[in-house]
Amino acid sequence: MAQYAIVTDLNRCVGCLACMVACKAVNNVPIGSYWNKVLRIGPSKKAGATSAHDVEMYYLPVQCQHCENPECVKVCPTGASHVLEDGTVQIDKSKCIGCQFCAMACPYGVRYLNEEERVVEKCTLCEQITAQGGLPQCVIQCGGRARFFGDLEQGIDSFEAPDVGYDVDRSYDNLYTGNRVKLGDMAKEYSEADVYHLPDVGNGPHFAYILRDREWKGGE
Amino acid sequence: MELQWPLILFTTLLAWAAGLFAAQCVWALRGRGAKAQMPALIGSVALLAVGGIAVVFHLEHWERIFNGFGHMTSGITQELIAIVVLFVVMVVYFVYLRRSGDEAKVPTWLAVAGIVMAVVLVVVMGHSYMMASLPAWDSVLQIGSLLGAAAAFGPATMAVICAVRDEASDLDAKANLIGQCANVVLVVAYLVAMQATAGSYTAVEFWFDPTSPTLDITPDGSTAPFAGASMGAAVTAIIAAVAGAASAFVGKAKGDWKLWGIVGAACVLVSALALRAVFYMTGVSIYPFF
Repeated sequence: MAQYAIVTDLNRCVGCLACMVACKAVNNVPIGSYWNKVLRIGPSKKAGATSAHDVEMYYLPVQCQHCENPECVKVCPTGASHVLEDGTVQIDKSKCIGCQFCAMACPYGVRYLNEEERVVEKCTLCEQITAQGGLPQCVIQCGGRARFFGDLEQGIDSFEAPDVGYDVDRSYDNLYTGNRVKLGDMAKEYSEADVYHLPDVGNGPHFAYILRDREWKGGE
Repeated sequence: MELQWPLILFTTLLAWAAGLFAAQCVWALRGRGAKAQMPALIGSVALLAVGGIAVVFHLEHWERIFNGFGHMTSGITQELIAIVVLFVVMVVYFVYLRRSGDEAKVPTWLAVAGIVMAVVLVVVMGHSYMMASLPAWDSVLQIGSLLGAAAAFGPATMAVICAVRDEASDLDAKANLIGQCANVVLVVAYLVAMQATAGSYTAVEFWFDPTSPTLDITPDGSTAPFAGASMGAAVTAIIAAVAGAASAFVGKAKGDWKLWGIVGAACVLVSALALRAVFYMTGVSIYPFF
């Protein structure tokens, strides 16, 4: 069984919000709701700062973390929220009764009620694209080439993103199936101590964030 | 989190139903209130039904309720099972009451089973809200607060029914004093436990959400019951619970349970609703930034 996830190199994230907008466009996310949000964390004083101007900050894309032990799946009475073979957490809308206990149980608050369909929605990790060998739209459109998609079983160095450069084929079709670069080949050096996760309350978030030379805020 | 009134009514009315049924089982075990047994049973079934109807209004697609329903790790599934089992016990109880005629006697095992199932239902119901994602909810004292409401609702209602049926007994005062005082302790204990979780939320100092550019990130007190908007409801919950306990003392002194039983039940209702309002107002995700 695979375990699909996204790793974001926060030292590369420029806060362009392209991932957020691309997600809304391709997944028809209602106005006012988001499957993916880019938060700005900071500015915070650096360790040993001598003036108020000595600060640091980073951008943090947050979405469903497709957890190891998803609380949302545990509390769902109908099995509408479930884990697929690829390790992603999905919602079968035809089974959802709209009790919203999954939205309450999510530690990150990334689920919401679609007021029109009256069912709960959240990031699907672009299952419609990845099932055909493509990359999630937020990874494809990432303006800073900070986001990488892959299988955690293979290690995060194997995670992929569209390649960058002047001589690569960046045609629209190629965005989905070809033209890949691996995180291990592209990212600057990092150690295990530079890899972070959102707070874990027993759910085991799978998404990872790489942050070098800056203080990670918010535990884990 | 917004106040979820269907769920607030559901939990409150089910605590009332379970409390009343458990109380009538206690009365039966002690050989009291024979004429009050059938009205009490009808009352608890009615409360169970109204609570059940209330929760349907929370569901966006209630018509899909049995569309795969039965995922066993879900608190909602466990609640439904507990409700069905309690209802079955109530039906058996009804049969025994009908068979025994005016004596209204039920076997000891059945009365004990009724008390046990009433407690189980309240515990299962409270447990379904224990979520690690919501620190203010994730406490066994949250279950305790529902048990407290049940312990106060039951004797107060039973005392009123007994008074109406001219069957007042020493149990009225004893059970009401114990139930109402337990409710005060458990309401206060849960509010203190909620207050104690105020520091368990993820903190990142300054942050900014570009989708809400004018959002005020200064703490609004929503993670603590005795701060911000929930303060009024928290104080109301305590005052109403204490007033309920006072009504039990006055009821004991005056012996007029028609009046003081109603006052006691009304106080518990106000306290339980206010506490449940605080519950939703402090229902903030451990990662409160999205």
